[in-house]
Amino acid sequence: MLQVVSANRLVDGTVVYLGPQDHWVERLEAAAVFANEAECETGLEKARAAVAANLIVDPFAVAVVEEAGVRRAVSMRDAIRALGPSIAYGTAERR
Amino acid sequence: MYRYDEFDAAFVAERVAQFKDQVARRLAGELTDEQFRPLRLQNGVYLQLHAYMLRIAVPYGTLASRQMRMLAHIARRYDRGYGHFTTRQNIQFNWPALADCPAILSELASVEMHAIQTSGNNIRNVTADQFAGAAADEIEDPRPYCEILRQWSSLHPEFSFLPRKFKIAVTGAARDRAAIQVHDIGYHIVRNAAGEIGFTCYVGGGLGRTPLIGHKIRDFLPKADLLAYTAAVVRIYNLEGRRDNKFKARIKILVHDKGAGAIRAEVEEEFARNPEPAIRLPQKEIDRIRAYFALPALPPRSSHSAGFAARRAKDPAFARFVERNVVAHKVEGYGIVTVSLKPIGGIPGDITAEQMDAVADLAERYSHDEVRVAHEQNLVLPHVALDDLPAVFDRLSETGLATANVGLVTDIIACPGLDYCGLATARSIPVAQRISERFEARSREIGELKINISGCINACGHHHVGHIGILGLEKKGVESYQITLGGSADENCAIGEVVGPGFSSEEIVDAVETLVDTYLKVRNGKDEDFLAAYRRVGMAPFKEALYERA
Ligand code: SF4
Repeated sequence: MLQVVSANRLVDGTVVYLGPQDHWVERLEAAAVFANEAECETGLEKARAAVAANLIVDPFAVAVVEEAGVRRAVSMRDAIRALGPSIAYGTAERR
Repeated sequence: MYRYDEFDAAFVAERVAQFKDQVARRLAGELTDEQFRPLRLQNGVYLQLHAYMLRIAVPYGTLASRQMRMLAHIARRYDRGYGHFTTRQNIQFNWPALADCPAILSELASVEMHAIQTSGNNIRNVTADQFAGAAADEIEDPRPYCEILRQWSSLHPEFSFLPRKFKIAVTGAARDRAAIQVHDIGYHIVRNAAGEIGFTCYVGGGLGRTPLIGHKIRDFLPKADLLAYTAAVVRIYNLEGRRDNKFKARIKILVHDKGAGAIRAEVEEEFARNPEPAIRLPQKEIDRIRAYFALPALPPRSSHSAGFAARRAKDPAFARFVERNVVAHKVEGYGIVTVSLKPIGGIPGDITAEQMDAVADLAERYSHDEVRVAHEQNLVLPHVALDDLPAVFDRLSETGLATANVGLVTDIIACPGLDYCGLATARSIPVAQRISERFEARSREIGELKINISGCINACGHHHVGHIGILGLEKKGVESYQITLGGSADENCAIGEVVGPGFSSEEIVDAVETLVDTYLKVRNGKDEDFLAAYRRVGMAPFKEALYERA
């Protein structure tokens, strides 16, 4: 299954993904995709280096699928992490 | 209310300075994540699904207007314009940057607030009846004792690394509004045959993956012995609680495994040993703390307020609000107003910065500067003159805070669930929103009915003690909701029973409606609420109705 590497940015906690140029991007669509778990190991290796460099925390591999050109995380947890809470919150809630 | 003395102020300021330094060292790479994690948790900073989360203590759920305004300011300046009140009377901000947390804590310290012991294996924020000090049915205000426990337990060297977290609740009226029997220690203020006031002590209650009701181990504890007895309980737990298995580490497991009788004997022996005579509370010290919580000077008023009565007679919306959200105050001519944070279809416990400011203004003008946080995730204005109720209601209405649903099926307790929480197995909030919308029109007809929803087995939404409890689980990658029936968190505490196999997200609201319709069919008139009817008829009719549909 396709994989991407995700983490939270150390300074503000924002959900980030390892991008193709090895920098950390905020959108799942912009993440570097690995063909399977074995190949994703190289991504996780880079993530460990980023942890050591104090850029990110808690990296892990996220299974994704691509359907009709749209990429989405397989598990609901990872999908909510990618898209934000599934509910309107804050001032958006109390229109 | 309690005001920091020099010691408190210096202690909190020192803690903020330490954390500022720790964050700077972490960002500069001088501390690893492993080294830093316990430090941030000790200051209430968690890492959730989307961002950091800061949990701020609201000791025994009491806030002054200036504190509420500070929370509004923090929501605006450092977060996304809102906050979330929790089932432990605390507030959480869901989006702060780590780099901002020291500044937030420093701003909080300026209004005598902090995030100490909102995480970690220590004695957590002590909770209390949200009507404390105002309730007509109260024996004595529990908050002075909560404050004494807070001062004693804050950074207590012996009790800062317990086997697991430790939660204490104190309630001061016969009606238990603080859910004391599902706490590690629950203290119930009582009067004995001689007319003295003291505490009945429950130990070993708790929810989570192993829900258990606390055992009464002391009928009457004199006030002077509050700390010595608490220390005895916590010491026995600290020595004997399991540290080998996180899931069996709470005191409830120790009490369950050894038996309440054995624990009682050990606690009494430790208490009799009296290793720290200095923590026996002198009456003078109790009185000193009690003075901070003295009832404000409420000018005498007639129990008949003409303006109030006239508005009630002509405005059904106001009459409904009074019926659901206002209860008797201990002083004639006043009422206790619950401000529901459960708008129909809204997020339980969420409040915007503008609403926080509005509540702060109302508290300042009409409630002697006091706001309370209820464990039901609502707010309370504890001392409102009946004459002022129309004005309070009007202002609440303008700001979307006048939902007249306290105790009704739409007053749902729900944890953040999978929309925010890293531990969740399913979402809670959308289920609460859909139930609230489904039942809005019928809620008064249905009457008292508490629904509690948790997004995982940790049970922060206290689903085991909901009349209807909903636990969100994950089955093969899909949300599945398990229903329990007959739970109750009051003085007749009960853990709900699982009704049967779970329901999908699409099915769960219909399932709740089936339960409600079954209740309406079996009840002996409107006066028999859901829980009473359930206790009379048992599980069978509900189960039948639920699963015959399948
Ligand atoms: S019950 Fe579970 S999902 Fe809900 S807040 Fe607690 S840990 Fe998170």
